[in-house]
Amino acid sequence: MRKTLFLGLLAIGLVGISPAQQKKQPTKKEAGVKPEEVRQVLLSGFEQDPKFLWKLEQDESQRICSQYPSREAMPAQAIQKVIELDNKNIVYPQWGIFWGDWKEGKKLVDSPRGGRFASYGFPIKPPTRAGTATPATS
Amino acid sequence: MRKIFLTSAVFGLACAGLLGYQTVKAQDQELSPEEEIRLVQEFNRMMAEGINPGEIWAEMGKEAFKKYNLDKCDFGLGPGKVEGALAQLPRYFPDAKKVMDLETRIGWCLQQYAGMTPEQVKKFATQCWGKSQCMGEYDAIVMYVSMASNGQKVNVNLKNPQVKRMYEIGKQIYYARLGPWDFNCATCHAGQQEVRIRATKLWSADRPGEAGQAVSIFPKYLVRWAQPMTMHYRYAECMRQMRWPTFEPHSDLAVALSAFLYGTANGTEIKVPGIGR
Repeated sequence: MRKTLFLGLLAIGLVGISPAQQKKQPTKKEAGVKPEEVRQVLLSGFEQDPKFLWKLEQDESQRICSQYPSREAMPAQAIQKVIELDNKNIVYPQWGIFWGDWKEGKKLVDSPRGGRFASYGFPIKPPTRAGTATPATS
Repeated sequence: MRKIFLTSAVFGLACAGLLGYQTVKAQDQELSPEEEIRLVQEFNRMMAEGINPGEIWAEMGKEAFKKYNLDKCDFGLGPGKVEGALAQLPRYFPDAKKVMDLETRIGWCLQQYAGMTPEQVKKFATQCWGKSQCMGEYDAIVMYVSMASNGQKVNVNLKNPQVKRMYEIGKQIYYARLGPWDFNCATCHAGQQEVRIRATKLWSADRPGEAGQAVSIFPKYLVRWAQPMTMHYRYAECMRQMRWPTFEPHSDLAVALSAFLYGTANGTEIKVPGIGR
């Protein structure tokens, strides 16, 4: 139960949004390329390991953010919308206990791997020392 | 014997570079972080002006190119013709009925003329991934073919509808936010504000000319790994750091990204091998 203390803007899963609101957003999409084609090309470029394919599912806030060339170019309204969407996904711990095992959290912070994974050249076990991006030593 | 000689040459160069860096560090113990960054950049600049160990791979690649029957391979300018090949890739190939960039084309030719299966090609292409001081024949072939285009300007034919389609798909993937940490390529490589990873300044698609400067020096020799990094390895490493699944080399995704990046880089002079920290 204590491990549910992840308060962040990382949202997984779909949250509904009315299509009328979406139309107002200025889309960067070019004519001639369908989203399905893009999706197909995208999926072709990754190893089909079912353990990691969930990472390629786009949620609504990610879809909104994808429409703007950079975070500088994102209008305040869209930012507000994304904050609202992701606030809904924050799961507060049951029983009102907000203070978890901080040592578990420290392990996550100290880990240099930080959720990165590739099937080439890297050991599954995270290294004990952090601070370098060199694959040979990590 | 030759391989041993080449390896020791690379080690020697790397050690010399490291020693130079250490002495610079030892002299200036009380420097501010900004000063230290400036010194590292100075070191990189000196390396860039001096000898580039990446050229050793081109020598190796010349032999491997013949060994794997790639002189039959058509890069768009005729069988075996490598001069200026990189400058006009990615392009549409009627024989494969696909748009291909340089590395995808090499992979296709290895299947056709060297009798490799797709699995063997993948193993061959990724033999140096995640390693350091690795002398790979694949890296060597890519380096050799790329260096033959030195001095020419990137000229991707975006009027071709197939290439244009890949360009648009690549553009959308560039801006697609994905993964558990909500990354897209533009998280680091967009905007007017300067973004850094440690001391390395990152290029931005919104600042004119920077995409071209970044793309036109690949494959690039990396001082910290003592081996060159090809374009597909660069994509794979970016995607690993973005917490995406493991990238598949020679895939359509790579071609789409190459079409977008080289298409954006049109008009930039190719200077291979580049050198990086």
